[in-house]
Amino acid sequence: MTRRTAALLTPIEALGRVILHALAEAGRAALMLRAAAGWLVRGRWEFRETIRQINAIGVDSVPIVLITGLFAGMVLAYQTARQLLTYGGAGFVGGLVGLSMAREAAPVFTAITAAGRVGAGIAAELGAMNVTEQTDALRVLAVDPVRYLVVPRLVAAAFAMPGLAMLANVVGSLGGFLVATSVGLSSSAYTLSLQQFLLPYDVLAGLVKATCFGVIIAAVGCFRGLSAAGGADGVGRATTGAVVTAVVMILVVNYFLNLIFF
Amino acid sequence: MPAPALPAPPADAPAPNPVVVAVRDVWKSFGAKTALAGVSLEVRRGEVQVIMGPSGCGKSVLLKHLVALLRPDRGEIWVFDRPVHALPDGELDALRIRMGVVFQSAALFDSMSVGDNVAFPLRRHRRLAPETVARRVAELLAMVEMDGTEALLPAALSGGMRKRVGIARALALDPALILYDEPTSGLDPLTARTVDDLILRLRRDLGVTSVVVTHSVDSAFRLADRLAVMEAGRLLASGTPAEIVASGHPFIKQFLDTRAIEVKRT
Ligand SMILES: Nc1ncnc2c1ncn2[C@@H]1O[C@H](COP(=O)(O)OP(=O)(O)OP(=O)(O)O)[C@@H](O)[C@H]1O
Ligand SMILES: [Mg+2]
Repeated sequence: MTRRTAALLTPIEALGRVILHALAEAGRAALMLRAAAGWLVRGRWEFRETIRQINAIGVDSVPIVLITGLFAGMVLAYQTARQLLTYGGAGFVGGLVGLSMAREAAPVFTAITAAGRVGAGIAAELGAMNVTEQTDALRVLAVDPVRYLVVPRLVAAAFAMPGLAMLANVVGSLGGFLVATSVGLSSSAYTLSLQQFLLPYDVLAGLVKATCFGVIIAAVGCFRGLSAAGGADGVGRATTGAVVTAVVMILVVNYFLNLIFF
Repeated sequence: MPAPALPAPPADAPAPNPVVVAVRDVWKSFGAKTALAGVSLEVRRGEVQVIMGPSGCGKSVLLKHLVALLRPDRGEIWVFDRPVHALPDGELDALRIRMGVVFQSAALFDSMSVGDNVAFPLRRHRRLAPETVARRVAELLAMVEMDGTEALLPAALSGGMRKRVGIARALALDPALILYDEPTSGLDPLTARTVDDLILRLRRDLGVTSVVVTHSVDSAFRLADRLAVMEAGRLLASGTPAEIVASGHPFIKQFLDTRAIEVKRT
């Protein structure tokens, strides 16, 4: 009897545990963000740390964003140009590439790339600091890790991501141009179409999306890093977890931002 | 029993110093594992309190409670007459600035050079000219015989060197209370002796209070004004080293006797 009840309860219990755990995590993440917001509102910025992080998050990501942006634009142009040319829609290629880049490809691809590079990096760095008691050392030296570690990364990511997305926009359209003209589109048709269809609003909305993704990446990376426990193993788990969580959140949030913006 | 008319024994003559650290019946569990099971301890100003005990008995956990890196499940912790167990995170900083902590793992900031590690607390909490900071850092590093290592990164240091840089960093803000978690483990006997002497000098010259966790019976007897022996989350005994030795508690005898056994074998 008891064994049967236990067997019946276990999956439910397990599910309950998972849900409780997720809720507790979300609660702790919210607390971290609230503390970070508190420091921001009080204007207590770690200027030097923030600059350092903008470098690490933004500047160092430029090469990889150039490559992903370029190829995203190229593949978009390749697909659309070949299809549209056969239906006589040459006048739409540039616009389609530009619009897709601005609204979706630039912010989302950049964010997913950054989740792998930046988010993982943040989780690994803070995770290593956590398991080697460096965050405890900060606390004991009366320096709040949220203020010193989390806020600069959040701010830096929020600034760097739209910049990177803008870069992806530019190289994406350029890549699109190269591919479209190589499959037979005239260069003026491409640029005219781009000018006609791509509105500043689309670019701006895309950059706002990128900012949101930047905050997600940094917040998830910091949270996972600061909750890492149990040595190198724990750091590894925090890092993987940070990337997976950030990518999933980016895609889900992206959908809802689309509902709002477009 | 006390005879006020008679002159008291000279060493005990002054009124006892105020209590700086008071731990009252502190309990702490991690899941099913009980790390502290009702620990009580008082440390008076200017004393060196040594804590000994086998690995895993809860020494580091106890130290972390004194700076609120861990919170007790039950019990009270008072430091400088402030209720550490009840203070919210935001109100701990003023207290922590008066305390120095030497971590068992040294806990140096990997991304900073030795010099920046030691300068970190000074730059955060004191308004000093860069030259003053540099001078003070050199002074602190000299105290732990790490002169001239400012430019090195922690990754380039041996375990014992890291430990000593950790001590220098903990001393940077001239704390009145210093917690050392195994300050001499991983050090050669001579350097260990230097660190012991440093702890004693800080007490003698500046009246610093120290809580020292150590596995070295030698260090313990050299340093301790008071000695506490822990086992499995409890304080088995606490008192002056002489009292502890005289207590005749079988576990303590065994624990302290390891030295004698080693000596016999050689
Ligand atoms: N964060 C934690 N989570 C879970 N268990 C912990 C944690 N910290 C300590 N413990 C457990 O508490 C017990 C006491 O640990 P503590 O680190 O205080 O030992 P110690 O006396 O310092 O040992 P050592 O001499 O080896 O440093 C151990 O059994 C340890 O596994
Ligand atoms: Mg320990």
